[in-house]
Amino acid sequence: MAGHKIKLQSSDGDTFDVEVEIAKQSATIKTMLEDLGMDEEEDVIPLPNVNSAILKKVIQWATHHKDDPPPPEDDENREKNTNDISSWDQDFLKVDQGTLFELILAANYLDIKGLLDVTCKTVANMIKGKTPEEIRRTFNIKNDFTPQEEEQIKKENEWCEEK
Amino acid sequence: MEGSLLALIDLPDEVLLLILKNLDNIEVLYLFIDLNKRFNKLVHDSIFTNHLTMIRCSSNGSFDRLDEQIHDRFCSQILSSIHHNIKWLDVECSFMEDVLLCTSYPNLSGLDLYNIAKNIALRIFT
Repeated sequence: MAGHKIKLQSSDGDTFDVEVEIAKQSATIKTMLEDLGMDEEEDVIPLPNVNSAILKKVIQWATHHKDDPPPPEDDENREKNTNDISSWDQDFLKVDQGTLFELILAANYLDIKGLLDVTCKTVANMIKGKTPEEIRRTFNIKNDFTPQEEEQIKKENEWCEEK
Repeated sequence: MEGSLLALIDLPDEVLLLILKNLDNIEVLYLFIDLNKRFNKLVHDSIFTNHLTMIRCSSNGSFDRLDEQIHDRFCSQILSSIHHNIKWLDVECSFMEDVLLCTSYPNLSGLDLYNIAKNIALRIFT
């Protein structure tokens, strides 16, 4: 039914009225609605893994993309193209790193393939062209190898270089 | 929106794999091998190590060798740590010797050579 709405509840208790067709871009919510028969306006779907701020962004994304065709199935042999992000999505994803990673987790939990694809591609674009040291700095990745483990790696590499 | 403190390293393996699968295997290995324990384990997965394309495809359709710095790191560190996983190699001819002599490839079943001159091909394969 066009315009029919359901309520989505974030982990911090806020509820959002969302059109069913928009909410169904989430395979997780679609399954809940279909399997549990939760299609009444008073039914509230709890989403304990998504906070209010992120849920608001997810709904904004899903609303903009409500008329998109279904995303293609995964294909291991597909070309690795990260340059096909629309300008709207690029602007939408101009957020701090933490928010971007929260969006990825939400897209993964809610099973929204289009949002998961575009957020993962955005992070891939942040990685591309950098050096290992720049990756460390950009994403604050600490070296957690013990001195003994580092020594072992070094020895193996020396053995390789001597061959 | 208040900034979240979530970091790349906080993401689960399944999500990190989705991100890294958007990159070429060479870039994944060059950037993440020996970066830290978790990434080191993750990028040793066969999806990144079975097939290595050690060439760059230019926009005009030609094939170029890898940057010297990346090539050197592969030959001195990376290839020896993943050699058991490698089943297919795409190599630029001038780097062939470095790549094939730096370690052994017990499971290699295919080798594509790019920019190979006819006289070299004749010498090797006849």
